[in-house]
Formats: sequence, structure tokens, C-alpha cells
Amino acid sequence: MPTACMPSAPAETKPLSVSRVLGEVGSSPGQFMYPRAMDHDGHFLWVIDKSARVQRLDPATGKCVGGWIMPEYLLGKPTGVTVKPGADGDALVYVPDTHYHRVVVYSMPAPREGVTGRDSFLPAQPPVVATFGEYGEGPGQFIYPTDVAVLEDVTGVQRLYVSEYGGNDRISVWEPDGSGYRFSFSFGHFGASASPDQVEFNRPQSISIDRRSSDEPQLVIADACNHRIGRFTLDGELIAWIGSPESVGDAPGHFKYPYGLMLVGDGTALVAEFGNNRIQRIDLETGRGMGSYGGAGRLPGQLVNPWAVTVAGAEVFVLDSQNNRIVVTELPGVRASMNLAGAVGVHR
Amino acid sequence: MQAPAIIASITVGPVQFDRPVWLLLIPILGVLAWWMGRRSLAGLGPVTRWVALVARLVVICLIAGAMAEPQRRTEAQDVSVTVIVDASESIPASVQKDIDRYVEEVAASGRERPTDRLGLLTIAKDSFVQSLPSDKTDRLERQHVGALDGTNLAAGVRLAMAVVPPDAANRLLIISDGNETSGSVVQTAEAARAQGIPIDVLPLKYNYQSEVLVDRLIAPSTARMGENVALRVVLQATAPTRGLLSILMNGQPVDLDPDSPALGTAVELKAGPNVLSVPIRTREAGAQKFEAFFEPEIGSGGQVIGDAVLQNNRAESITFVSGEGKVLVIREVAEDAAQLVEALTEARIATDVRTAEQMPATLPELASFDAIVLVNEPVDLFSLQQQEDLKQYVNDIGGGLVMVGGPRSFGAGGWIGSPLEDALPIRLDPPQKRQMPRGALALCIHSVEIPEGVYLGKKICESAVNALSRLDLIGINEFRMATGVDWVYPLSEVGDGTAAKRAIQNLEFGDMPDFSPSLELALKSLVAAPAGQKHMIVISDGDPSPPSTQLLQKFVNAKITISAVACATHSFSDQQTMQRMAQYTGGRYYSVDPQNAGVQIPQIFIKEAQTVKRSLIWEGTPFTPSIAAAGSEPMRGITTVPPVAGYVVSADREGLSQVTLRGKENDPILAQWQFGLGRVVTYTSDGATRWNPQWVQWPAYRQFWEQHLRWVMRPSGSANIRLTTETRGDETIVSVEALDPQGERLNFARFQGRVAAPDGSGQDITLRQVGPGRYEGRVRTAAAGSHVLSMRYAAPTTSPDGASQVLEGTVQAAISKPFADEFRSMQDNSALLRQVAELTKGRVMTGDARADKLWARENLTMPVATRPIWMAAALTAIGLFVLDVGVRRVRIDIPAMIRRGRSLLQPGKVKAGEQMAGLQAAREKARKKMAEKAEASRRVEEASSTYEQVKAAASAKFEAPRDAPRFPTKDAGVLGGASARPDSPAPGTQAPGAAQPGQPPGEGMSRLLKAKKKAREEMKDE
Repeated sequence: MPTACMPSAPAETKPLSVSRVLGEVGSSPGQFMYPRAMDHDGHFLWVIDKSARVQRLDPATGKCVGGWIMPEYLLGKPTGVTVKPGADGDALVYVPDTHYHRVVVYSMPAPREGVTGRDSFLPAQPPVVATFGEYGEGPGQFIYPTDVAVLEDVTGVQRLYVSEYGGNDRISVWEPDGSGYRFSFSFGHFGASASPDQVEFNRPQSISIDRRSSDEPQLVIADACNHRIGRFTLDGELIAWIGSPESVGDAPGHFKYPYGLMLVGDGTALVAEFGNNRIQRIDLETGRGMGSYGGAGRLPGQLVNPWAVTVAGAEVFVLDSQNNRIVVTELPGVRASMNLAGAVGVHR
Repeated sequence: MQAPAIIASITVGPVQFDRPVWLLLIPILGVLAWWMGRRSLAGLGPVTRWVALVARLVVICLIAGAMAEPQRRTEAQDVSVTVIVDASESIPASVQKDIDRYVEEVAASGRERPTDRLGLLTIAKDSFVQSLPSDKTDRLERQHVGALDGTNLAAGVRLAMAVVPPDAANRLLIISDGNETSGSVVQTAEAARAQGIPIDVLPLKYNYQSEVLVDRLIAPSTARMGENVALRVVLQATAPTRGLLSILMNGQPVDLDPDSPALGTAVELKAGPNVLSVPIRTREAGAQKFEAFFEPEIGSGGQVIGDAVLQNNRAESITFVSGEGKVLVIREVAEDAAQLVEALTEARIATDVRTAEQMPATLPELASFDAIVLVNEPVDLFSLQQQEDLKQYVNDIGGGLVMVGGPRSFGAGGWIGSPLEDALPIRLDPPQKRQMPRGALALCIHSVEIPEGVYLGKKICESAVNALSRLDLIGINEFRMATGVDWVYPLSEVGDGTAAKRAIQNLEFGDMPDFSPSLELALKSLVAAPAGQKHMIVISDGDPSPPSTQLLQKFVNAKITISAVACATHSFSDQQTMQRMAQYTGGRYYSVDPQNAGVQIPQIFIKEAQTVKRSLIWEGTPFTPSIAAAGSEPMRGITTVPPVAGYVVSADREGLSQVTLRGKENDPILAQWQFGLGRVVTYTSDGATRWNPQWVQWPAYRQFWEQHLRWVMRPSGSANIRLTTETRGDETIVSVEALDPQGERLNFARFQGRVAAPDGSGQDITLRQVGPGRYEGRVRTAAAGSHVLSMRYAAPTTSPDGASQVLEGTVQAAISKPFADEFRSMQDNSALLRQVAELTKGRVMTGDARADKLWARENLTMPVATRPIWMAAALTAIGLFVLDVGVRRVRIDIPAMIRRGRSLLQPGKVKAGEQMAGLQAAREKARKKMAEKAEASRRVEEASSTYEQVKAAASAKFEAPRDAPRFPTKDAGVLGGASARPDSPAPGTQAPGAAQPGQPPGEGMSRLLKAKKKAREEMKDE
């Protein structure tokens, strides 16, 4: 089994060096009520919290420059978001509407100049480009979708990869079909097996596509409750696991509930570890831990249950969920080499 | 000796001195330094001298400043306004919307700085923070989850003061009608004033133009069976109007107008108070509950005419109709109590047999029974309120209680920790020394996603702890921030429950990603636990990842059941996850209705805790209990009892309880005591054939139960008592007219009793005689709801045959306060708010968002943060002191330094002009040197003449007697050359070059000779 070697020395988690903090607890624009999903579209940050608000934030000031409230939220709120540039300056917002067992793709217009706060909120949801999925365990059905990864080339979107859990733990692959998407295939089942013949997940919480080399792109999946990160071919064949359910812990290269995943573009990834309250940088090839930042707590530089991490330029944005804030920091050697605004890259 | 007064701190620019007295050192030492400097610095050049003097003065300032404890002040710039919005139901809905609009408008345009903050609280009966003070808050989002039928402005102000930011100047703004129903905002305002926080007010003005309220329903407190009672309904109307008045008796409508198809009667009301009288005939004994409703007229468009607030259209009252004493028997299965009820019926004791669900819902209704018998009843069938009511029924109303055992009773039925346990003559927890199998319960707490879920989550854990006995084991785990899944309280003995309850307060209710770690942790501990019954309860919304089948199988193998409590699930999948855990392991599954979770979940936990309580039952070979106290009144004439085959283990209680039958290891089986006004009997074996097969055939079976029931039953008495109550504000006047059985006025009677308030509290009442056969007392009845009054009386009287006797009995009455005071006000109370503003130097707002300057700086003291800087001052002083020394000791030739610098920078690149200037400078230098040599020659001459003097002095030193004066110091000054002034050296100082004590005299002279020689050589060179 191609499992990367894992050193077991105790981790040394350094507090994050905080450049600035965005947001605080509250229900006004720019404030959060347990934010659980975040992405960066090259210009703006996107955050979804437990008040079912999708907010677009200015990453420099934290001011809200657009947003809406999900039309249905009584059963629960989305736990993931992926944003890509669309036509005419619009943003394509892929929302895995977790508790409604579907994926909704919105086309959000660019922000209006000088309009911030409540005024920037849309009275209703923005135009829906596509919506797919329904409750169930069959093909094309979901139980609790968690994340969407977009595979695209110069001609446009090739595939969408959607992760889900709730006993239905697998990755579904969807392909464009006219104006919508058509289910293609899925891989993975609920379980903890490490065998390449039997791909199993326990709450795959985050997916990214690694396109750094000229080789075939790879899928990188955070298998949260199995405490591991998996690398797969685009067709779902296992390449390697980093970490395992048995090796759960805080040593370098080990994980405890890896929820958020951000590929830096140089063969390393930042992992937001919900259970270890830290951001860990890992080498995707060797599985080696390259530094841990954060630590449990409410003080500046500490984290409580981070759900997501993203990078823009040299700035790293950490969604410090239970502290209701986004911590902006810089980590040694981390600089996004991707072109966030373009189609090429390793954007979530 | 009294300490000297300390001068208050003073502020100079951005620096504050906390001990400014030390600053006095500056002028004192400054003058001294200047005076001394005039002499000691005289040898320096004018610039150097001034620099040195200034440096010294600055050093003095810094040291004195450091000793004065300087603090650097940073003054806040922001103002934070925390708005307290009255969300109670007394404020009309339209006005509530106006408040929301006002807040939104001021938030949008009122801030004077962009960083000014706005915090929002809502208050009604309780207070909630809607938004913490923030520069981002832009409107009020009402998510008030508490009761709205009350206003506690004081609690709102207290909460606001707790959340105001310390780094901004603060104002509070109360938006309310000023009608407070509890607390005193004026008192709390004093605290705000003390903290310098002004309270601005925005009085909400309204006056209901048309409003009707049912002020009260007056019914006699007591009546006799079949008597016609006159109900009087008092209605207040602000304007003439019409409507329909209905009366309910024990929940059933009474037809007031037989001619009309409607049950109610049409009434016309005039403005002001209206009193309507309705005669009603009483048909049964006990507490009769009357309710009066007023329904306003409905217009053609469906609108209500003549009434604005509908919550105040109802009033109720209770009349106790005297009749024969009755016993309420509560059992779930008829067989459990069949023989017992039969025995009581034979003994002519009237019984009313019901299930727990059919038990009267209110205390006044319970009060109509003389005794209550619970047969094999588990605690989870009774709400907490009902348990409290039963306790009050005994303690304050004087009712009797008999608790009969069975497999679901006493400790095995979860009554440990119930409020009713206090009323029992036994302790339900088995004694420490009693060896018996125990239970182990592990709780996994994930989420209780309902309003006040955290509070409720803690409460349910506490109720589970309370329901276990001290020997049982309990463990609580959850997903924790720092450690992931971990024990909050590791599986260990409950003991007195204190440690477990303390741990419960530390619950974090973390967001658990998957169930497996929690289940594995519990499994490991439960498997190792020395317990007979092992059980786990999981409470969650069901959305963590499910556990694997292999893990659940491990629970089955270890005979550990899991009960799953699903609360606010997100989907069918969540319910399935929870159901599967329960079904697979043989536990129970509960789906909690979020609306009713506050009542439902604690009951579930108590019920589940019983799973591990089966160990409290003793079953075995039948044995005959020993009679421990044959002389007790209910055991009169009973000398032996048949064998029993089982009972629930309990323990003796300290105090006045009396155990009359004992079982194995001296366990109490039958016990009795007086609790408050009432009496209680417990029988821990059962009333039926399961444990007592021989009891039913026992000839004294009827006698046994009759005597016990008659002992606990409240005596009804034979006096003719008529009791009336009249409520005046928060007080009720209780009046009694008492006649003896012969119809004579009953004098010198002693009336003592208690009043049970709706909140579970009780208070004593004593009546005093105010006339022949007339007695009166007062009692406080502030809370809304039914207060039940119960009194025992004892009076000396004479029987028809002339013998003296004491007449004893009891009497009950109910006092109803129909609705909360919240709905009693028909207009605002802005005067109270103005008083609050005046007290705290706040302002009265107009309600115009543009005119009201919420964030105005007037009357505000900006908070100041101070940071000690004495260390910096002291270090600077040390640095300057070195400079001061340097200035005096080191000559700095700045032009030379510049030249040197230049030559280094431009080696070999000297221009022609510069060469000439260089030559001229060299010439000038040579001239200066000549002049200096001439001066040196003169000094040498002086030195040679001095040499002779020193030589003489040196030899004199060694020859002179010890007390002879030393050589003059002025000569040493000349020798040193540091100062030309003959009088400059300080007394006692020794000039450089002078012979040191112990130094050979020739050495000093040889140095002088060398100097002279050197000077001559220099002259030659010139």
C-alpha cells in the first residue's frame, strides 16, 4: 500500500503571526455566526456561516461587499463554497447546500462601487445557473454534500467533483450537460479501509485539484474522520494516503479531523485541522509535515476548530470558525503560485 | 501615627504622575545642581558648561519623574451606545416596528466616528444580547427566545453594563414604555451612575383608545355542595363597547344564556369598571375552577373592535366546595392498586383512581384531595412541576402522601434527586455500607440545538446525575476544543454528585465530527467498570459521521445498551443514524420535539437513568419484616405482618422519621413522618401480589391500609368556616368567619397555615381574631397564578353535653392572580424613564433618528488606558548621566573630526585651493602652539619654584608630629593643573600628582622633575 512515511516526533505548533483579523461574532454584514465555509476568488473572500448568509468580503478591510441569505436554511446551512470567475466579471459560486442534499451554482454580479454592508446584500438569492442532486443514496443523489472541486481547461468546465458524508461517504463526478450538469460516476464508500482496491471515506470534507505539474492532474481529498489526506487520479484511483485513522494525532504529518485544504501550488498543501486547532503545511509527495501554526485558544494567533484555509498572494486566510473570525497571516515560504483569476491553477 | 496624605495624581500632557510629590525634587535638586555647577563646571568652555548643566537638570527631572510613577495615557476616541429594547408584549406590534426602524436609521447615520459602536439587547421577562457593541452593528435582529409576558428593565441594564466595552466611552439607551413588572430600574441606574454611564431613554408613548381587560373574577373561596355561588366578573373598559362573556367551570363551558345558541352571554360595557354577576350552582365537592373570558366584537372586515390586547381578557378563580374527604390514587396498571383500592373502599374512604397523566394539573385541584397515594409510579411520568406540586401539597397545604413500592418506584423508579424525595421519611439512596450491584451510565453530549440549548444540556446532565444513587458510576464525554473527544467527567462514582455537577458546568458542547471516538471512549471505560447494569445515552442532532457496525457489535458483546436522543435533527439520515445505534444495541430511541425539548429531554434522561437503577431492587426468598416501632399510631393493633418477597432498597433518614417495618440488613420497608403541615408514609414493597402474595389474604390487610391512610389524611374538621379573600395590590387579606357545630361563634381559635405560591415557594400565615368569630390575616401574593392557602385550626369549645373539647380541622382556599401585570397597563410610564435619565445624567430622546445624537460626546468621560513608563525614564536618566560625565571629561573637536572624515573619504585628492588653505591652517596652528609653549614655560618656572616647596613639605610630612597640619591643598590644586583656581579643590580631596600616603617621598618629586625636564625639551625643540 503506497502510504507515505510519517514521522512521529511531537508537533511544535507555533502561534500564527497575525497580520490582521477580519470579522467578529454577530449577525450584521462583516460579522459571523460560526462560519464554516470560505474561498477566495482572487479578489474577494467568500464566507458562509450558520446564519445561512453567503458573504463576499473585501480581504483588506473585512467589509461586506455583497451577499445573500440562502433561500432555505431551517434544516441546516451549507458547509462548503467554491468560487470561480464567470463571464462579464460575475463570480460563479458553487454552494454544496449540505442539509438540502444538493449543489447550487449561482452567478453573482460584481460588487457595485462604494456599496458595502447591508446595502450590498441582495434582496433574494442571485441568479441560479444550475442546481443538481437530491436526497438519497443512489447515483446522482446526495446525503450531506460538503465541497465542490471544479476541473476546467481553456474550453471551460470539464467536471465537478462533489464530496458527501452521512453514511453516503463518497465522491460524485458530474459533467456539463447543456446548461446543467449530468451525473457521470462516483467512487468511495463509508469506511476506513486503506486498500487501493477499496476506496473508503469517513466524511470527505474538502476536495482540491492539483494541477501543478504537466502530468495528469490529481485529486486531493481531506478524509476528515479518518484523519488522512488522499491523492487520487481524476478517475478515482488511489495514489497514496497521508495519515491514517490509527495515526490520528498532532505529530508532524499526522492529522486530527483535517477539514480544510488549500494547495499552495508548489507541491505542498495547507491543511486546516479542526481537531488539532492548527494549520499544517505538508509535502504532498512525501507526507512530511513542514510546520504547524495556531494552537487551541481564543488569543490572537490561536485557533478553535478551523474549518477552512485559503491563500491569496503571500497572504494566508484561516477561517477560525469557533472564534468567529478570519485570521490573516503569512507563513514562511507560502505564496500562491496559482493564477486565481484564471482557469489554470489549483484553486479549490 | 497617621500616614501623610498623598497628593492625587496629576497629568502633564500625555503623562500622568501617580505620586507627584516626588516632582518637588526637581526645583530643589535643580537649584542645588545649578549652584554646585557654577563652581565645578567653571573650568569648562561656555557651551560645554551649559550642555553639562542642562544634562544634569534633565537627569534630575527624569529621576524625580521616575520616582513619581509616571504613566503614559492613551485616551479612547470611540463612543459605544448599548440600546436596551423592550420586547415585551405590552408594547403594541406597530410600535415594535417603529423601534426597529429607529435603530436602523440611527445605526446608518448617527455615528460621529466610523468606529463608534452599537450594541443591542432585548428585554422582556429575561434579557438577551442580540448584538455585542460593534462598529458593524447596523440593525436589530430580534431573536428573543424568552417569555414576553413581563418586563425586567433592571436586568436589562445590568446585562448591558456587563457587555459594554472598556475601551470606549459608554452610553445606554432604554427604549421602553417604562412599565416594569419586576426588578427596579431606578436602583440599577444608581450602579450605572456610579460607573459614569449615562442612561438615555426613549419613552414609548401609547395610550389604548379602546381596550377591555377582565380585571378579576371574584368567587367565594369556600362553598358547600349544591350551593349557588355568585361569581362577579370585573371588566375594565376604556370606551363603551360590546362583546361576549363566557364562563368555564372546570374547563367545561357553562351555558349562561339558554335562549341563545352561543354558550356565552352578550354584554354591553360602559367606559370604566363594569361588574357583572353570574350565579352558578356547585355540583361536586373539591376545588372548582372558574374561568371568565371576554371576546370582543369582530367587525365585518375581521378586525377586532374595542380591544387592543387580547392577553388580558381572561381571569380565573377557585372555590373549594366542601364535601367528604377523598383520596387520589395514582397508578398506571390497575392490578398494582386493585386490592389496595378495594381495601380503602371497604373502609369507607372515598377514592379517585387515575393514571399519572390524568393527575390534576394544578396545585389548587390537588388541594381538594385529603391524601394522595402513588402506587409503583416512576418519576418520569411526572413533570418537574408536578413533583414540586406534590411536595408543596404535603408541606404547605397539609395533604397526606402514601408512596407504595414496586419495581418502578422509589430509587428504582428514578425518584432519587426528585424534589419529592425531600418529603419522604426515607432516603432513596442506599446506605454507603450496603453491598449491592451498581449501575454505570456514560453520557455522550453532542448538541442540543434549541433555544437555551447549552443551559438545557447542562440541566439534563444534572438530572441524570441526580437520578443515580451515590454508588452508581457516571461519565460524561463530549468533543472538546483542545483535546477532541474527552471525558468531561470520567466514569466514576456519583458520590454526592458535587464533582460531577462541577464538571457539567465545563461542558463546551463542541461540534462533534463523528460518533466513533466518543463511543469507543465510553466502551473502554464501561467494559472495565465494576457494575452490573451498563448503559450509554447519546444526545445529538445526529449529523456526526455514524459509528461502524463493528463498533456497535462491541457494545452488544459487552451487553451495553445505547439509548439515542435525537434533538433537532437535520434530516431523515440523522434520525436513521441515531435509530441504528439504539436498535442495534437494544437501547431506546427518542425523537425530541424542539418546541417541547425543555420538558421532554430531562424526563428522558431521568427515565434512562432508571435503566441502571434496577440494581436497587431486592428480590429473594420471602421473609417476615421485623416490626421496629409497634407503638406508632398507624400500626396500632398490628403485631405481626406476612412475609414479603421483594422491595426497593433505601436508607434511613435523619430527623423525626419513624421506621416501623424493616427488611434485610435493616433496610426500611415502612416509614412515616410529618413533613411541614402534612404527613407521609412510604412502603417500599408493593401493594399487589408480585412481592406480597400473602398480604392480600392477610386478615389485617384492610386495617393496615385504613389506619395508614387515616393517619395521613388531612382532617376536615366539623366547624363551619367561611373564608373570603380580597386582593389589594400585591397583598391579599384573608378573612374567616368561624362557627362551631352548634352554630355559635367560634372564639379563641388558633388559625395557622401556609400559602403555596405558583413559583413553588411557601410562606406562613397566622390569623388574629378581630371580632366575635372573626379572624383576619394578610399574605403577600405578588406572582401571577394560583396561590393555595391551607390552614389548620384548633379552638376550645363545649360539646352539646357540656364537656370541654378542642375542635380541630383544616380549611383551604385559592387566590388567583389571573394574568401577568404586563397586560394590566393601558398606558406608558414615561415618568419612570425620565427619572432614570435624570439620575444618570442621561438624555430623553425624541424618537427622531436624525435629531437624536446617540453618540454625542457630551457628559462622557473618555476612558484612559495607562502604561507605566518609569523604567524608560530611569534608563534615559542613566544614559544622560553618562553623557554629563562625558561632556566634562572628553573634549570633542568637531572640526578635526570633520577634517579627519574628509581625509578618509578623499585620500590623495586634494585640490590646489585646499592646499593653500591647508598651509594657512598649519601656519595658524604653529602660531597657536608657540603661544602654548610660552605658557608651558611659564608653568615650568612656577613648577620649579613649587618643587622646592613640595620637597620641604614632603620632608616635613615625615618629620612633623601626627597632629601637624598637612601641606596646603591650594598647592595641590596648582600641581594638578585641572583647575587654575587656587581655591577650587574640595576640602579633603587630594590633588593628582601629590604624594600618596605610604608612597615613597622621592617618587612624587621624581615625577615633578620629569615634567620640568620634558617642558624644557619642548622649549628647545621650538
